[in-house]
Amino acid sequence: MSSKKILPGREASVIASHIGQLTWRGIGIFIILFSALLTGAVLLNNSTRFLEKNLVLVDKEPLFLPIYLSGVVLSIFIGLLASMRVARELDKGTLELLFYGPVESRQYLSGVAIGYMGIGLASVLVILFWAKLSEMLLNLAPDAKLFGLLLSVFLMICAFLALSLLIAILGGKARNAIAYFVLAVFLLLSFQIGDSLLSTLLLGGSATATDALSLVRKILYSVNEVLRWLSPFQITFEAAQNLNHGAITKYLIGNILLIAETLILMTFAILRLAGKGVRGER
Amino acid sequence: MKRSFLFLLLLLIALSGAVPGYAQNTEERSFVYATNHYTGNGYASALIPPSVDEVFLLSGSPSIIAAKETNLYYWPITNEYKADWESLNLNASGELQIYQGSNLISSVPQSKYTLQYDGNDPAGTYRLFLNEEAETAYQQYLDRRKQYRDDLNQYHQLINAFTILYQDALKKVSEGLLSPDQLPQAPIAPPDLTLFSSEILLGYPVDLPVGDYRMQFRLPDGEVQPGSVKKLKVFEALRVGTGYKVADLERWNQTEDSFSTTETIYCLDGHTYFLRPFSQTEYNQRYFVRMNNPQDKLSREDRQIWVSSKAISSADLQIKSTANTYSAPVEGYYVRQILGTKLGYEIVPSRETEQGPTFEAVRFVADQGRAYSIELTDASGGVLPGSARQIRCTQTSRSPWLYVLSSLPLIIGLAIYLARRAKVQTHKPIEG
Repeated sequence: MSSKKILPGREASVIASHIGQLTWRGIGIFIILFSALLTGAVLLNNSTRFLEKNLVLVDKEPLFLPIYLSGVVLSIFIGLLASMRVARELDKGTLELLFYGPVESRQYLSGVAIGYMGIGLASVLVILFWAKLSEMLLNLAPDAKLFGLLLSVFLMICAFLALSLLIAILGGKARNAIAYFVLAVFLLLSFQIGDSLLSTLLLGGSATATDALSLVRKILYSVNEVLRWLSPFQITFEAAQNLNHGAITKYLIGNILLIAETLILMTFAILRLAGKGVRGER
Repeated sequence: MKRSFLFLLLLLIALSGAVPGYAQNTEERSFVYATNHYTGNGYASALIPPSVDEVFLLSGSPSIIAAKETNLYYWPITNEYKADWESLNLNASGELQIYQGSNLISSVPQSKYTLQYDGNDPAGTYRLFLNEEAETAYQQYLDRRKQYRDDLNQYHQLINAFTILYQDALKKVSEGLLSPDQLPQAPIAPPDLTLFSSEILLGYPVDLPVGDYRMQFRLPDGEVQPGSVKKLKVFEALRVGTGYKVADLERWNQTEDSFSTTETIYCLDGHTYFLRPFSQTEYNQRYFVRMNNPQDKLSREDRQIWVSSKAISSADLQIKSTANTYSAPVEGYYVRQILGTKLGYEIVPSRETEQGPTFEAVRFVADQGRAYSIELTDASGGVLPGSARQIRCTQTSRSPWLYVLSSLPLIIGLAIYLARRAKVQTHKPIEG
């Protein structure tokens, strides 16, 4: 197989560049960035409020959770943008026109992915800038691990982007793609948040006393045992925790998992699009 | 006849409704394991009912596994199986066999043992004695207990004699026959017996390196006791460290715990804090919790738990700030309640009072800058492991600016959008 067949090629870079230009010219990405940073600001402000009332706060890294959640918000919006773009093009039939020309499904999807990954990277750099300014503003302890966390957040955006593209290809029509996308986000986040809440907030009383949430707890725990290897949000959350605890090997494994997931999901999406074609089973 | 029958029937029904309800559940004679296990700070006991299939032990010191027959019952209030030791407590005869994979690595015979500790410092003095040593140690304990009783008895006799003498002497003082400094001195009480000991007990001492094992109980006839096969996990501490309980002067009994060196203690400028250092050890949450409570259902293998062992009362805190470096000792502080109806207290060094300390801590005032590095050193100047922390004085008043920072992308985006719109409007297409 020649390298031309493997690499996305010039067509992909043209698509990526086009996506980048279109996105940065619109107001949408700025609103997304604002939403992500606002989420972070609310969480960080929550910590400072607690400090004011409690007079002392012990925290490993008060910026970790705000940055992580900002990353989740970004992932969802960027994934939605990418998913809608592909689904709309499939819906309108513009992709059919494109594929009659020199562009193949592999080049098209790679171009879209690279374009939105570029937007993700730029957004992560904006979060870094925001985090550093917040650090100075509030006199928080500077921590080099922040860069590690942002790397994981970027990989999370990439992995969720790949999942969103696969959803768009599987959904075919825009409305199907939206429904699948919302369902995926809901399932991934609800199991993760539910498990986190139940395993920390509701741990009280005797460990053997009757537990009203016993079955829910067991289900959430079991599902999360699977999701911790599959969900980009969960993998990134655990990578961040490992980074915080200084478990660098586990942190790196988390990042490798995110890269592998991105590649696998992208490959599935490309193969699926090539297999069913643009008219396909819509 | 019919009436009287009906009356009797009604009476029976009424009486059956008035029978008191018992929460006593049925007992079942069962084979169980019971542990007297090493916890890192001492020894604790636990019951392993048949419903539990894995036993957890901490490496580093021997633990005791006892094989017993008892009456088990289910206690619905806590959802636990409990043993009615009073009705049946038989030590099973045989040997405890421990396998690693399919290899039998140890056949442990039954041993006598006793556990002893000093009540003044249980964590530092817990000792497990086995076989002859156990008998010797227990005998020594009995001798000391007897000696203490004798001393106490003698002391009471002396006190009685002293009371009579003292009354006489007081009378003579009032009559001017004796001066007050000639009053008799009270006898000195014997020191308390702080040594505690269990009786001589029977069990199977297990001291294995970290690993996964399987254990079973083989009866004297060569058969394996039904229900005795269990998984056995021997684990170790993940790390040792130094923790701090941090409290502001204004909320002295509301402490925040700092367990790890990666944590930062955030405080407020100009406030006074008390840092109470303590030794601690980190374990896997499931292993440690299930060792102490084998029927626990909530602990997780993917979590860790810090277990504090004892307060550090003799050390110096080295404080490095942007302005200077200084040292502050751990010392006792006494919380003195202010008299009156209004609530209030003051915290003073206990050496300035006649009272014992309420707590031992380092007093730290956040007035030497905005960032500090701290670590504890012992008497020889060595740094205590895991005692380094950062302290930062946070500028909480600036937190509303976070929202301004977050709005920057929106402001920039709007500026770009409006500039583009203005540009498009100025480049109107030429008509005709």
